[in-house]
Amino acid sequence: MPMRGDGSIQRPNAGSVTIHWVGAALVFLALLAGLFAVYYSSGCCAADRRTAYLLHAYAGLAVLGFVVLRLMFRVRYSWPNTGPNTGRPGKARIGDLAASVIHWALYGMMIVIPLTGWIMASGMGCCWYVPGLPDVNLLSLGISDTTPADVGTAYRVHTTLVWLIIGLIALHVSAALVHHLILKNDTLHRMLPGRLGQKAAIHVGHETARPPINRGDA
Amino acid sequence: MGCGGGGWHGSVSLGHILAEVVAFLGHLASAVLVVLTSGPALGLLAALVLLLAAVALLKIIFTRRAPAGPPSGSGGPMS
Repeated sequence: MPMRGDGSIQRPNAGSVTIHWVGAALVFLALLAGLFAVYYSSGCCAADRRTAYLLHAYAGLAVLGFVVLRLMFRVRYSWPNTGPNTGRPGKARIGDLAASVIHWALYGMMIVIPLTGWIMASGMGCCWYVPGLPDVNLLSLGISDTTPADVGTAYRVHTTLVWLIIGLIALHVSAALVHHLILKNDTLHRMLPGRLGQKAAIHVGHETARPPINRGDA
Repeated sequence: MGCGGGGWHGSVSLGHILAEVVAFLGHLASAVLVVLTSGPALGLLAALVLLLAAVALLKIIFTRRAPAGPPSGSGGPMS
């Protein structure tokens, strides 16, 4: 596996790695519970549907919180520069661009999907009520009270973006596996949490600790 | 053309598929725009931008303060 000359990998800081995996688990949980509530539960207000729906709602709101945290970490710590890791700079540049587009699309969707879900939960009564969830219009903060959230549009955006984010997650995971199994670089390793990422000896936040070592010296 | 209602009768060309995809993306973009211009979305995004700006400002302040201190130990740019 090509690494830096001293055999170590530059990693993002522990906070970003933790937020990544907890966020991923929450997204997975929200998707699973949402799909179960829509496709597999019985009856409109059945107990299993209600449980799955509440799980979906709370996990989705937690995703919104975690993406805000994640963005704060992205602003605070610059992402470690991996450099051209395929040995083919042109293709690596296209790959980096595609990865950036997918990452930022995921961040955007992880904001818009929970927000539209919140709009729907606030606008619908009956068994779609979420205990403890404040009305979404409180978010208006007096900036734009005149434009209330449209539940129908929010529903269409929510359901469409859910399928798109499933596709993007599949691309994201596939890309990580391609990096690990085919290109054999450290892209997946440096995002692994805890002991799984022990090969990452340099752990200095997102900052570059040392100048890159010329691999030709090895 | 001539297959009204968006049906897939007859041959399906790449142009038809692209037109459908573009139309779908257009509808989605307009719906997302409607959501993003609603009060809650504007409020949330404004709060998020302010929060990130505050984090960026704090980062700038603290990273400017760091080099002002005396050089600590070895490894400094002394040459």
